[in-house]
Order: sequence, then C-alpha cells, then structure tokens
Amino acid sequence: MSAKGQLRRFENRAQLLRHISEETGTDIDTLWDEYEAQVE
Amino acid sequence: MGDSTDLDLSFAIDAETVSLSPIGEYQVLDLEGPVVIVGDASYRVVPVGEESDLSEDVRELSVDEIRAALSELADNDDFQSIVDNCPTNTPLVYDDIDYLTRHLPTASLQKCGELSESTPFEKELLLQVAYVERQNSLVGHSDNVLEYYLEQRAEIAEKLRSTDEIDSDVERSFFSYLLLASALIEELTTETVLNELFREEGRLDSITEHVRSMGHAKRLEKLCGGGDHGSLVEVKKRRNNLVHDAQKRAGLDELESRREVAQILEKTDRCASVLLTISGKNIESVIAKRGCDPYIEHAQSEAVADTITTWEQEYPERLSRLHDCEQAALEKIRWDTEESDPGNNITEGFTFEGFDNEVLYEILMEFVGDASKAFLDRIDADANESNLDRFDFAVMVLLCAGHSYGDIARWLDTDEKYVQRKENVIAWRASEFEKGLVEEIPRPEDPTWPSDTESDD
Repeated sequence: MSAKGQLRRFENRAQLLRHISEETGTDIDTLWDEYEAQVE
Repeated sequence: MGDSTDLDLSFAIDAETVSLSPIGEYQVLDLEGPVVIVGDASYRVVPVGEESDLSEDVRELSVDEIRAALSELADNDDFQSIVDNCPTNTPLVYDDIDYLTRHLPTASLQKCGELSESTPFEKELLLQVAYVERQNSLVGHSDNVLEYYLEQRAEIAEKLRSTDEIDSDVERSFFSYLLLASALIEELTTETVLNELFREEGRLDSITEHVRSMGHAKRLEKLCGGGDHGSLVEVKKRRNNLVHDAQKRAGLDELESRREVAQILEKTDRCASVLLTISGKNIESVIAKRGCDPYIEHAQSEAVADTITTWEQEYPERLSRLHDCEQAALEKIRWDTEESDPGNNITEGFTFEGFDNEVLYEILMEFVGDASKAFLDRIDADANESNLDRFDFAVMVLLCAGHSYGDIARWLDTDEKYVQRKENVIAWRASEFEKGLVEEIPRPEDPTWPSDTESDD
C-alpha cells in the first residue's frame, strides 16, 4: 500500500511473494520467513 | 401426501467448483512495503506500468498508519459512503489516486477531505483504504451469502431425499433456503448493476444511491436488458408470499409433493446460477476448461511456478524427489484442462514410459493437484486485473478459443446476440494486458444478420 500506484489483488501467498521478489529483488526465502513471522 | 420415490436432484451451481472468498479480517504486514491480507488473498500497491523506479518514493504510507485507518474507520458512516462510491477496479494504466479523484462524486471527495481533517489520515490514504474495502466487500460480501446458500441447499435437498412427505421440518428448511436464495439473487443483482453503471460511465451524481433506490424488479430489468427476467422476479414473489402470509408458509404456498418442492428448488438454483455467472463469480472453471491455448499456457505456467514456490517452502523434501526424477521436468508440467482429474491427464513435463515408482507417483499427483488449484487462482487474479469486467474477460478468452457464439452463450448462461455484442465491446476495451494474455483479441469477420425465421429481440 502506498499513496501512488495501482492496487493489485493476489489470490494466494505464492502469487504475492513471487511478485514482491520480482519487483524488489528480495529473495523469496526471506519474504516467506518474514510473512510467517508477521502473520497471526 | 406420501411419496417414497427416489428424488434425483440436479443443481446448476456446482458447490465443488464455485470459488468462495468470504469477507475476512484484515491484517497489515510489512513485506518491502505494506501488504493487506484478507483470508488467502492479499492487496499491495504496485507501480503503474514500467515505472519501477517509482517504488522508492511511493512507500510513504506506513504499515502502522494503514493498520490504524482500517481499525478506526470500520464503523464510520462517512467512510462507508466513500467505499460505496468506489469502483470495483481501475484501469491498469492509471494511478489509483488519480483515477479515484476523477471518478468519485464531488460529495464523496468532500467527505474524504472532511474525514482527513477530523482524523490523522491523509486523503490519499483514506481513498486507498476505501478502495481495499470496496474490493474486499465486492469479492466477499455475496460470497458470504453464497456460502450459507449452499449449506442450506444441501440441507433441504437431504431432507427431501430422506422423507416421504412434506412435514414442518421440510417447510422450515425450504423457507430458509428461499430466504437465502432471494438474498443471494438480490445481492448479486445490486452488485452487478452497480458495476455495470460504474463501468459504463453512467452520468449519475450518486450511483449507489440511485441503484439502492430502485426496486428489485427494476434492477433485474436493467441487468437483463429488458429480456426475460420473469423467473427471477418469481423467486422474490414466492419469498414475499411466504414471508408475509403464515398460512401460505405452513403449506409452502400449495406445494404438495416432494417432487414439486424439488422442482422449485432446482428452478430457484438455476436463477441464482444465472446471476452468479453474470457477476463473473464462477467463470474460473469455464475458462479453465474452454479457454484459448495461449491463455491456458500462460495460466498453467504461472500456476506451476506458484506451486513450486509454495512446495520449496512447505514440502522441500518431496519437491526435491520430483526434481531428482529423470522423467520429470517440473516447470514444464501441463495437463489437459478439459478432463476433470488433472493428475490422470498430464500432457507435458513427465514421461510415464517405464515409470513404476508408486510413492513418487503419489507425490506427483499431489503436486499436480496443488497446481490445478493454483491454476484457478491465477485465472481469478487475471480476471480481477483485467480492464474488462470478469464476465467479459471470460467471453474474450472463450471467443479467442474459436468456440461458436452458441456454445459460449450456453456455457455462460446468456444468448448469442449478447456474446456478439460483447465481441464488439472487447474490441474497444481490451488493453495491452488482455492482448498479452490471449495474443490476439477476437476479430469478427462476417456480418451476422438474423435469419428469416428468427425474430430479432
């Protein structure tokens, strides 16, 4: 979420994390761990 | 009146394939910027077009701000009225805030300004959060009703099958079913008419108010374009009769046999199914089975990549056994989508000749099972992403596969003329995104005159 840009809906975790990884260059393992750590 | 014959009920809505995304609780995560999670789905703002360098300065809204806005605004009436006037998607080439500030009625934008002054939230944040809420309620609200509807349908069907006569238990169950069917039809009608008006640039000051003030029959008439909507109105009439007249309710308005109740049950389900299709909520399985080759290739390849990503984290050992198998080329696995069981219809990515490892076969079947679910998720995501609405997206992918107007009309519960008209609409509205998915948008080549014997409706 940010002030500018286009809101996109992802239907599952893999779709989301693959997208973020492609956009930011962060590897998926790190993103997956972050996701696990933060989600309730 | 006793009747012990077996009842063979057949429903139009397939509870197994309909995808349900009921409204969920929000969670806001920080994954290289804020991400809002709702159930299995998630929302994130991505840079528009190719301008990826934007991402440095667009992450200015913090996770905490979004969390606070979502929890504080949930019961705010002014915020809700902004949500109600938000469209359900925006064109891909536009920045959302640019689009929303042009799209929303002046009154909503004024409310947004006032709300920003009375809360710690910037106007842009309020609009973004309203848009997330609109998307969530779009996908989720009628799905909640649909979930209850399917449960109640299963209950009344079971009661009808297991009893010989119409007793008070069947009456109660049927009445509950009818209430839910009527609620579902009304919910889907309102949502679809709203979407149509938003997308057709209806020159109305407050679209939501206008649609809510219409009667149900008027909404249906608008939706069905003056076509035959009598059976849909009939559901509401039947529901009203039973609600307002206790005597009729007790006797189910003169439905005397199990067969008669079953017929009304099937007919009502067909009505709900038509609206479900018009709203585009159950298009995934039609596209999966009948979509054009380039689209199926795209969606399956993305689904396989999504599944590999998930298995790398959740089942690394099993995945590595598949990777180690000489007969498998996992990334290339594809399956025949016209068959119901993808596991038995792998067409690429695995060589079965001389393969007799039962354990590995089980793992492969699990992998393909997961990939086929991810395949439906990908279709769902593409339909949401498209500049076309979900129904038109389905029409486009089916037209690109070369199916006849008649077949497409049958699969999508509509008529041939409507499909032809939509072909024209798609030619105007398809964006680069859709063109990239199907390679070439449908191209009508011949004029379509009505035959002498056919009346033009």
